[in-house]
Amino acid sequence: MQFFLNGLPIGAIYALVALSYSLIYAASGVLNWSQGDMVMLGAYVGFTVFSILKLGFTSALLLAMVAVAFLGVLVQYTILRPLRERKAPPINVVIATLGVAIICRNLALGIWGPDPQILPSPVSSRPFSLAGVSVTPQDILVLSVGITLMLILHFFLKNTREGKALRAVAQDRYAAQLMGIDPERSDAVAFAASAGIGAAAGILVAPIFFVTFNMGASVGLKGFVAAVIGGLGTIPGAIAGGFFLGVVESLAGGLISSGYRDAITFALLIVVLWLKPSGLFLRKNRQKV
Amino acid sequence: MDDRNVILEACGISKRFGGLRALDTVSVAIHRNSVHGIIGPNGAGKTTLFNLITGMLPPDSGHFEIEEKPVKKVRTHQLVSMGVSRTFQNIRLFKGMSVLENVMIGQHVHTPTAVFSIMINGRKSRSAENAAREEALAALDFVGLARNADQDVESLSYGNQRLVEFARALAAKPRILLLDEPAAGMNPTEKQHLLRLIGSLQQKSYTVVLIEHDMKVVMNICSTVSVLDHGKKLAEGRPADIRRHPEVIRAYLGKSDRGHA
Amino acid sequence: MKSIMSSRRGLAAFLLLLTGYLFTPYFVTNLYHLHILNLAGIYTLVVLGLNILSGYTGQVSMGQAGFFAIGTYVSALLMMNWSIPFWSASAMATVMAGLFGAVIGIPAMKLSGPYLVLATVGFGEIVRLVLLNWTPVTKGAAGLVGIPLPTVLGFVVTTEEHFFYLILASLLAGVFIALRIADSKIGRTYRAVREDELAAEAMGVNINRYKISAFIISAMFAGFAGSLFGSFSGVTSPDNFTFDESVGFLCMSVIGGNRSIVGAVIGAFGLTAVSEALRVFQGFRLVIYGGILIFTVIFMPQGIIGLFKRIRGNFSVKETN
Repeated sequence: MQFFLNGLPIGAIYALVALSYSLIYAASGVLNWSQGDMVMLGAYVGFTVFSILKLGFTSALLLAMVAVAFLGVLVQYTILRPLRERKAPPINVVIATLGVAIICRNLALGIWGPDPQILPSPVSSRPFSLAGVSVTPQDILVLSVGITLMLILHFFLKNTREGKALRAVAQDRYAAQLMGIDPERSDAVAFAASAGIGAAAGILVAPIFFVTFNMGASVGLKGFVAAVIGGLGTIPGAIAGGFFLGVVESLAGGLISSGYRDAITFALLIVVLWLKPSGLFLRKNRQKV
Repeated sequence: MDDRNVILEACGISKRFGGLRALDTVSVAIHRNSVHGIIGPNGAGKTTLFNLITGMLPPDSGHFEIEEKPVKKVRTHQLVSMGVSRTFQNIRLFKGMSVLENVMIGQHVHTPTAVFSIMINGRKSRSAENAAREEALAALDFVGLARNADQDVESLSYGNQRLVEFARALAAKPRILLLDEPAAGMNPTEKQHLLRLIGSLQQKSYTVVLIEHDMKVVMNICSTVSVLDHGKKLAEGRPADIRRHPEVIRAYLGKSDRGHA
Repeated sequence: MKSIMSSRRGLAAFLLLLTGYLFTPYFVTNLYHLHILNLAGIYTLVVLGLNILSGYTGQVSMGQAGFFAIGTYVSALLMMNWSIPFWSASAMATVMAGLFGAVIGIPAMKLSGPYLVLATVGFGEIVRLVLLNWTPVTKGAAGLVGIPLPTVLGFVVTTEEHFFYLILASLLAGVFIALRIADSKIGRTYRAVREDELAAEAMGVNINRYKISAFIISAMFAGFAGSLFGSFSGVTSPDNFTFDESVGFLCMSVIGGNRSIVGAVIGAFGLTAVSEALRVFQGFRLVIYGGILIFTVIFMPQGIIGLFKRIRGNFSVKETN
């Protein structure tokens, strides 16, 4: 049971990253391998805001989200757009986003140096007992911020003009265009939102791991796994996939073996894909987003 | 009806997609060496029938018989060995490959894949390749596109692309050829050409099953016509009889005006 | 889509380059540079298989490092634990890698797009993690040291120069086999499977068999390369076979031109050379590398080979009716 609960905060992180992948995939059909590095950059920007500008945690969070969101739009505009205009095959887009990832990672290395940095949490990490299980305030913070972000995203998609436009583009790009929606703009919005969410995930996860230029790799990959398990391109799928992965990982690590934990997770993933090739929550003709 | 052998038969085929009854206990008997038309308004279930015959989907009930032997749980790629090949409503050619290469795929089951011989460029693999190429060129020659053999298939006009698909299906050396709207998108000259081709196929003892919307084509070339509407077989018989059949007329006129008939 | 090498000029160019390349150890005296060339040669073998899998058959794989690793470890362990000679060990490692190709190929045949990519990534990671954790057999993070050298007809391959010729010979064999596969009925069928599975099936192609076979072939190429890699490096550890390695192979495949066998050679050697050449830029090296990847993929969508083919005037004539 303890392991189950332990998996929830990290599950929320995975869910956020999974949302980033799914949003972009739903809107533009692209697999953005640089998502993990948005997480990393979010953590670094947050660190800079916090430690150098000496602003509080909330400011760090918000500024990081905004800054990285800008970067997301930049990536969409300078890289995705030309690729789309030239009708590039998907594998080329994959390589391009990998290139972005490499650039981000090494720019971070250049700017902030190789030494790990620390972004301390505003709440303590000392565990206390809640209804018989051990919880830390950090866990609660991660969960609450994470869920809040998910709710904000849900509201955005359902009730704002840009959000509805995004959903239209996700469902049928061409039809949306005919209705006067600019799909490139929706792509940009998707990239901005994804990057912003990724940055938030970075800030949330930073107190747990150190802030290094490599921190995005693992979380990025796991977030992608979560998105796929849930059904790539679906919002509830991403959230469910994220929590599912977090919990399974925690259970596998705690109950079976901590060394093989990731191997078990990946094996499980392959089994899931074998049984349901489009993910757990995606039926073949289901609407996306 | 004549007493010639039934080469392909659908026996009480039903298929449902969710709430939609695509096919409802449809039975059609295709006679050897005939040109059998399958017509009906859009959504009548014609292409679904083809998809079921070729094993792309399983029927909910009913079965098919080829040469009066029931066909059990066949997988699509086995159909060619059983003598059935098809073309598609929306042209499905292999992009990025030449016309000749496209048609050579039709020869897939007829030439051995001698892996070891291929690795060492041995005689067996080379002669197999040559045989496949010969057959493919013959099929292309039949449809009149032999001189386009080395062109990229995407560079051909729409009508010619349909012909390439036709040639590819022929290269599979079928006894039964299923053509799904082969004349769609063709201009009158191309349609005439197509009619001649189908006619000469009949003389070469092929059996052709043809889904078509163009009534001139159907009336011209088909020996038998089956009419489907809303998943049910409405009528069946000679083209001239079908044209006057009251149910058929109602089915077509009852829908929105579609221009030519 | 015939290979560049099937034309007379292409073949002549290739033979010319080959002759020049044969004398490389005499010109390149810097052992480090020779080492890099040898690595590029080994990587080319992996990319050859990857081009067949991802370029020809369209099954994008980001897990080739897994097969590469299996080749290295199986070969090394067979030699070290049971004193099996190199060539037998290498053959067995290649077969073993092929087996794993089938293992991942079977679930993969139902998958496409990002789902397939993820399954291959998962496979690569599982292999790495098993190698990392199965300490009694693989020595875990410490890795293997003292991997025996190959012997060719009694002659022990020891120096960088020796390896140069061994790798070159292997590469020539690999390219020959890959070309034979690609330019044959098998290659044509792979391409048909890539373009339109449904139509290929309707024409009698057993899709599953071909998809799995592509995985097996690509795995065997990578496995054999791995066995060479082990003896070449002398030491190995799971760190050599990360997701980043798989990414590297994929980049080489795409940049060179993933639908071409010659493209594999160009991609592997090209990216290795570029990566080395960028060392002058120190810290910014990888940033520029990333930029090159992006640039190439936008402006040379068919890879470097694609550029060649366009320049050669491989246009299709627009048909007038």
